[in-house]
Amino acid sequence: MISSIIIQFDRQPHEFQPLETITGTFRLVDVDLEEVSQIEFSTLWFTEGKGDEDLGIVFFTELDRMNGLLRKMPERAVNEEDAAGRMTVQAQPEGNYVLPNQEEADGRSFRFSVKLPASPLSYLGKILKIHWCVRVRLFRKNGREVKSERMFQVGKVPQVQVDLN
Amino acid sequence: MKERSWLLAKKRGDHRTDSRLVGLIAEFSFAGFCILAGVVGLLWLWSFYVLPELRIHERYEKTICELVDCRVSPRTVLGNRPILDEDKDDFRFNGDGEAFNRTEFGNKGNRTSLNEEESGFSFAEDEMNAPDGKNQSDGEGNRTGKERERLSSGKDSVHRSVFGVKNLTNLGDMYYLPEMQLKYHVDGVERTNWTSSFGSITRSSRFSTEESAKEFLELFCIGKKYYCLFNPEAPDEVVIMRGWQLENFFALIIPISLFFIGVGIGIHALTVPRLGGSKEKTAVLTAGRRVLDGENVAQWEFPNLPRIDEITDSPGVRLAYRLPMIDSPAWALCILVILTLAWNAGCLVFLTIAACSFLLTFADWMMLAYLLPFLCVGIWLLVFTFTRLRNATAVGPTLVEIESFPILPGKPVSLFLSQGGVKPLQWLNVVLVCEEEAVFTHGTNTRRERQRIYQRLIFGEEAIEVAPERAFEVMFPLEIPHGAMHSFISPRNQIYWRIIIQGKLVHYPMFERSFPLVVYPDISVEEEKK
Amino acid sequence: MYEENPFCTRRIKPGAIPFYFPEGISLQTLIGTLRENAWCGQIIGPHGSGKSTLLAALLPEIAESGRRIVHLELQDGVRQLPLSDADFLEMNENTQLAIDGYEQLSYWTRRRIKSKSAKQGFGVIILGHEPLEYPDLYQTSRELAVAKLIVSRLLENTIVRIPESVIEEHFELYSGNLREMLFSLYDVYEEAYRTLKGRR
Repeated sequence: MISSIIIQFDRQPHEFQPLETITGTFRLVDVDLEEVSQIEFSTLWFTEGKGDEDLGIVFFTELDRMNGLLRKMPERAVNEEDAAGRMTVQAQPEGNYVLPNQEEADGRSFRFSVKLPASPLSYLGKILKIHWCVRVRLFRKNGREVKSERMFQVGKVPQVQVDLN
Repeated sequence: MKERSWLLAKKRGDHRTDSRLVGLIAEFSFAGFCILAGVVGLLWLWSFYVLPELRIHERYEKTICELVDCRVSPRTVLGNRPILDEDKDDFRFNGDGEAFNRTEFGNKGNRTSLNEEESGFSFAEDEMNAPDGKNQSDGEGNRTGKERERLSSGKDSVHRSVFGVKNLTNLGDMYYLPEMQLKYHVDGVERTNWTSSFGSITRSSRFSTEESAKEFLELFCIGKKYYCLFNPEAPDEVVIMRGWQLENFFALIIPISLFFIGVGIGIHALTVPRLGGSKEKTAVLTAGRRVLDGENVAQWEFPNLPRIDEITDSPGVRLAYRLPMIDSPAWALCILVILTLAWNAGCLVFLTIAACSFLLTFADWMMLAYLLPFLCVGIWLLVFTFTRLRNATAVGPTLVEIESFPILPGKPVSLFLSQGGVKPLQWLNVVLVCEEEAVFTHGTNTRRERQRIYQRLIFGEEAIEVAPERAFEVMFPLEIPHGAMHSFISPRNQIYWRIIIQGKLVHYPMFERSFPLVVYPDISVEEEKK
Repeated sequence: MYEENPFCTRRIKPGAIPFYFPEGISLQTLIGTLRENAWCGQIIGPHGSGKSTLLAALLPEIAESGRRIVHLELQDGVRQLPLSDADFLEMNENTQLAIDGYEQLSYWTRRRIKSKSAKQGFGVIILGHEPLEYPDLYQTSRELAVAKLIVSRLLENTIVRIPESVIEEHFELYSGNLREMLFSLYDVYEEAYRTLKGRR
C-alpha cells in the first residue's frame, strides 16, 4: 500500500495572477490516519537553474493532533436549513487557511486557500527559472515522510528567448 | 581519553533528552540568565561608573587649586583604615610600616599643568566620609575627633600597625590609596581638603602596592597649581580635573550585549522550536519572519525585488530621480594613485640612498641590483595609473535621470542623459539590457554565471561635440517590453535590468558606464481585469 | 507540462548523483578500508572528478555504522578550521570528521588536527588534489564512460536526447571536469528542449 497525497486546484489550468487567491484541496490516499503525526502545508516559490536553489515561503502551516485539525471539523457559517433540516454552509472562511474539507467528512481531505503576493512571477529563463508550487509533507510517527507537490503558474511572463539586438 | 561529567557535556546524540519542553526550559533559562546579568550589570555600571562620571562633568564647578600635600593611605577592601597614631598626622608609611618623610613627594614630580591632559584619574566616592555621609574633614585637612575616635577604637583590630610602626598586618586584601591635599577658593573662602581622585570611580583607583601608589603621586608637584572640580553643594568635595573617562561608557557594551544575547536566544527559542524540520519550515523560520497561520504575506508589497530607496532618495535636476552609477571607478582610481605614490616614494628613498652611496662612499651594485625590479614595477605603475587617470578624466561625468520609479513593463518613461568631457565623442550609445545571474557554491568551489537575455539600443549618435562648459544632453523614452520579467533578487540568483552608456573618444579606448533600473511587475492591469 | 532541466544544480550537486564505482569496489569496501585505518583516509583526485560526490555517498554509510559525522566544507581562502577547542573536546573514537578543502588549511592547523585525532581517537577523511598525510582511501579520476553513464541516467525520463558525440565534445572541452561539463550540458539541454517544445 503506497501512500500518496493528491493536490488539486479549483481552477484549471493552474494559472493565477499576483495578489490572487489560489484555492484547492489535497487528499491523503492510502494513509492510516492513526499513524500520522503531522502534516505540513506550504505555498512557495523556488529557483531552478545553474545557481543554488533559493526558495521563498508565502504561506506555511502545520496540522497536527494538538490543534485537532486532523479530526475536528471547523465551525460552520450557518445560514439556512435544507429540506432535510441539515445546516448548510454559505460562506467560506477568509484569508489563508488549511481546513478539513467539509464536503468530504472522512478527515482525509483538506481545503486550502492562499493569497499570493505581488512578486515574484513564474519565470522560465536561460540559466534561472522561478517556479511556484503547493507542497504537502506528511510525517508519520515512525519518522517516515510522504511528500507531494503541485506546480502552478503566477503571471504570464513568456519563456525567455534571448534577444540581443 | 578525556571525559567530562554529564553535567558539563553537551547534550547530543544519546545524551539528548528528546524532550522539546526540557530543551525550551533550558533555552529560556539561559536567555533569562543573560537578560538578568545584562540588566543587573547595566544598572550597576550605570550607578557606580557612568552616573558619577556624568555627575562630575555636569554638576561640579571648575576652579584652580594648589597642591599642598600628598600621602598614601593603606586600606582594606572593606574600607577600614589602619589605626592611627594620634601623635602623627602624617599618614604615610612604607611597606614595612616605617614612616617616611612627606617631602618625598612633590619634589620629584615635574608635571605641572593647568590643562586637562593631566587625566587618568577620576573622582572617588568620598573615602573621607564617615558612614553617616558627613565629611570628616574640618576644612583644614585635619581629621575630626570623631574620626580619630572611630579609627582608634580598636574596631580594626586586625590592623595592629600604626603609621610609623613596623608591623602591619592586614585582612589579606590591603590596598593603597594615594591622596592629595588641595587648597582652593570657593566664594572667597579658602578651603583645604584631602581628596583621592584617580582611576575609575571607586575601586580601581586603588593600588595594590605602595610603590605604585607613590609612583602615581610623583606625577604631581607640591606647590604647583592644577585645575580641580568641586561640588557647589558641598564645596569640601573636590577632585582633580581630568577628562572624560570614556572606558566607563564603553563598559556598558558588556551588559547591553548580554541583554540582547538573552533576548535573541529567547526569540530564537520561540521561533525555531524544532530542529531538523522540513526545508520549507526552516526557510520560513530562519528567514526572520514567521509565516503564521492566516498571516498574509501579500502585505509585504513586492517581495524579492531590489530596494529602490537608494534611487528615490537621490533627486534629479531635470527629471525626478538620478540613477547611481554601478561600480564607479573613482575609488579604484584613488587606491591606485595612493599605491603608485607610496610605491614610488619608497623606491625613491632607496634610490637616493643608493645614489648617495655611489657618490660619497662606494658603488653599491648589490643594492642597485635589488632595487631594479622594484623600480621597474614603480615605472609600470606610473604609466598604468597615468593612463587610467587620463582615460577617466578625458571622459567627463555621466549623469542619467529618470522620470519615475519603479518602471513597469510596457509603460514608457523619459530618460535624461548628460555626458560631460573635454573632447568630442566619436559615438555614444545607450543600451538597455537584462541579465540573469546565478551563483553555485560547493565547498571551495564558487561559480558565478551571467547570461544576458535582452539587449536593445535605445539611443545612438555619432560625432558628438562636448566641451567642458557644455555637456551633451539628450532626453529620450525608455520602455521595458510588455510582458518582460521584473527585477528579481534572492540570495543566490537574480535578474537585473540596466542602462549601459557606451562611448568612445578619439585616441581613447571605449568606455562603459552602467546604471541600475528596477522593474516591477505590472499588477495594476490584472487588478483592472478583475 | 514543464520538465525540470536535469542538469540544474539541484540534480547534479554532490549527493544528488550516485557515485559509480568500478567493478570490485563498493561503498562497503571503502568502509572496510576505513575501519582498518582507524577511520582515517584521503580521497584524492582532480577537480570535478567526483570527490565530493563520493564523500556524500560515504557519509550516510558511516553514520549507519553508528558514528557521529562532523562534515566541514571550507570556503575558498579559509585557512582555519571553524571548530573551537570545545568542539574538538566533543570528538571521540565514535566521531568522524570529514573535511572538504583540507589543502587550504595552514600547516599548523593540519598538524593540530592530526595530533588531536591521534590523541582523542576520532577519524578523519579529507578531500584533496594530491596525496597528503592520511592513508589512501580512494583515488577519483575523470572517466568518459562514467560521464556518459551519468548523463544517460539524468536524461532517463526526459524527452531530450543528447548524442554521445556532444558528450565527448564537452568532456574534452573541460578536460574531463565533470562538474563543468554538466553545467555546460545544462545549456545544451535547454536549447534542445525549447526546440522540441517549439516543434510540438
